[in-house]
Amino acid sequence: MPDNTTLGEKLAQQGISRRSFLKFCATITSLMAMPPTMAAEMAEKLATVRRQSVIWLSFQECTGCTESITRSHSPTLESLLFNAISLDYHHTLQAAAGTAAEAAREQAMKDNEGKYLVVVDGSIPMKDGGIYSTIAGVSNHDMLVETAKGAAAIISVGTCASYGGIPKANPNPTGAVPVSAIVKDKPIINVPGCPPIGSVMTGVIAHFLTLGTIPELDEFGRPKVFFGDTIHDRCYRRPFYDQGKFAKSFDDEGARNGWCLFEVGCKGPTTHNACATVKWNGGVSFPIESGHGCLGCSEPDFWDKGSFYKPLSTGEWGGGAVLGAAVAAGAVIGVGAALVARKRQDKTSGGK
Amino acid sequence: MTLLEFARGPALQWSLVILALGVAWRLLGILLLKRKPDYSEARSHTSPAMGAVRTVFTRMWPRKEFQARTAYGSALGYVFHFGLAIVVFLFVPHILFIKDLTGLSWGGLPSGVVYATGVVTLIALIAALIRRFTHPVLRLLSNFDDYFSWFVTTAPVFSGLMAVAHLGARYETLLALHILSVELLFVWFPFGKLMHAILFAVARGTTGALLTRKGAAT
Amino acid sequence: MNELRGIPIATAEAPLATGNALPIVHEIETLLNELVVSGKSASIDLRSLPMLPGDYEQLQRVLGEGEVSATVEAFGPTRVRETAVSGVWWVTHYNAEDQVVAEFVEVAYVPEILKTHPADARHAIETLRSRLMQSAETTEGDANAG
Repeated sequence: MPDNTTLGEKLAQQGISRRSFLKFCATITSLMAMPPTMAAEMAEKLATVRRQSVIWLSFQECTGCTESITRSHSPTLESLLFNAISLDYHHTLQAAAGTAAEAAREQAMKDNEGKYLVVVDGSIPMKDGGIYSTIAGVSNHDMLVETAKGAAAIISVGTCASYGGIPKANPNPTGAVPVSAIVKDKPIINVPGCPPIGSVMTGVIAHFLTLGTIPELDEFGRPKVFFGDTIHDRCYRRPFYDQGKFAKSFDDEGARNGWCLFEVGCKGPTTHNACATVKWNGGVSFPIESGHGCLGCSEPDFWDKGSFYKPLSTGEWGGGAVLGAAVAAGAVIGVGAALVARKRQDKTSGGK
Repeated sequence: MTLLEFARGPALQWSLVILALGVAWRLLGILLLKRKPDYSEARSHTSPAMGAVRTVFTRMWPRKEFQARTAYGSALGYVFHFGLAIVVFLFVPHILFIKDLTGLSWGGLPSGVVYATGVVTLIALIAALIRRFTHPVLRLLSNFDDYFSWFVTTAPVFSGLMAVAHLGARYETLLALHILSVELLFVWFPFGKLMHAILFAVARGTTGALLTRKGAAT
Repeated sequence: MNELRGIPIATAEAPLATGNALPIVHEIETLLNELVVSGKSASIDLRSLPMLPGDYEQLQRVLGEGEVSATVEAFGPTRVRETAVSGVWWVTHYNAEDQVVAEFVEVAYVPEILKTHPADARHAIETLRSRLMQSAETTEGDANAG
């Protein structure tokens, strides 16, 4: 049965005051770099909307994205968000199981046709008819196509759903593809990361819930507000990079002084994400601050871009043997050329 | 495959292969040429080898008689050669690239100093091109090799500065273009005038050896 | 030297600052003018600018403390403090674990979060009536029991 209670009514029923709500909206506007005056508008609007139906599809995933979004310490904006939505289908969080769970999903799709939000984590295997990941006997591909039909928008959470992620890494035995390779006719927001930061996922979902629109996206379909800058450009260790102070190995003098981690493989310069500003676990830290270089986990195919521990300015150049062979080949050609030239020299000088 | 992946992968491998093959070919092809035997009597007891080495250094600055006409050009050349050396060999990300290739590494300069040097180097390179284009004799003598060698030297400096400044395109694209421009230099290096990097010593040395034997000033 | 003790810890001496405090004060001045002339309230999100501890200290010094201080219990405390500058309020939102989730300088006659919403006031008439009835029942019950 469609739930027609407004969000405001639902929250009031649970004893969540309008002021809590205003606080929630103020936090979201701050997080998403929107003008603070939007908070009151957002709160007004949200109080009168019906709870948004959300269907969360989990495909070839490790559940890390769900873990990230649910890692809230106590009532914070994440849990308030779960009150603001009607999470009609989620493998890890739902109480129902088996056919009852699938029935709930189908009912939600019918009741909210054209208006529900689909959140996908995990990639979709395509090889051999997609048999490598199925739910209730239905392949991921078929379930995605069917569920996407009546969706208002799709949020691909995590690098697997956004770009293929670890299942797609070389040699991609299951033929994994991202959501955007299958769904072509619905707006898709990519929120990559392995996993993405909890508040980033929440912020994007909240943006859609409260404003009903997609935030501005970059050319990889990621919200610019979170993925517009590289880690390098916002890293607190940047002064050390500029001064030429680098850690040469883990736990050496430079590392203990908190110097730049470029030499031990940090991929910060080519990685777009909010880790350096929003940080993790409620702003506690992020990989570089904890002493390990960025892996580049919000970029497509980051598993196949060379070692996590070789600096970004190196490349795959084939090894000494290949170059040795090239020198040898060049030497042979050079000797040959010299012989030809010497013959010509003899001819012009008359053999002297 | 993105442009950056291409630049750091197959393009890097192939350009280094062509560089290695080309340099071996050109060097051996030149060094194994026959030299005309000199039947005249040596007019000086200094060994030709000593003379060869000495000449490499005496030719580092124009002779007094020519300085008025060539000092500016020579000075400009030294500015961008030293500039290139600093930018290429004393910028830590570049040092790491060389370390990956050869295992050798050394300390670098603060990156801000390198950027400033890069700007000075670019200005000197452009000034050198203007000189080549406006000086009537140089203009007459210059050919494709001269201009293209200038281009493949200047493009990495320019693209490197643009990448650092994040100007003109996405950073990943700028970085890819920078790496590809260096690879273009690698590919051109053995076959054009850029080989002077190695051959200048051979040329000066040969002249020095001949002149020393004749007892002439080097 | 492989123990935690062996890792040297250096502490900063003076609180670091970026110098961003004074520009904020100038912006507050502009907003205060706006408030007086047109009655429009506004907010400055302190998390939207790079602010180091020294900047916060400087801003707090310039603005000072006023007469009003209020705590709103809504999913964790929100502390509202009037500054020595009338119409300028410092609003800090904490979550239930006392971590700062947002911080604003509000220029208004009354900060948004302290106001009562008209819809809440309308519903409150019912609330008051039922609370009155409950209280009457209890008194009756007491009277009957006593």
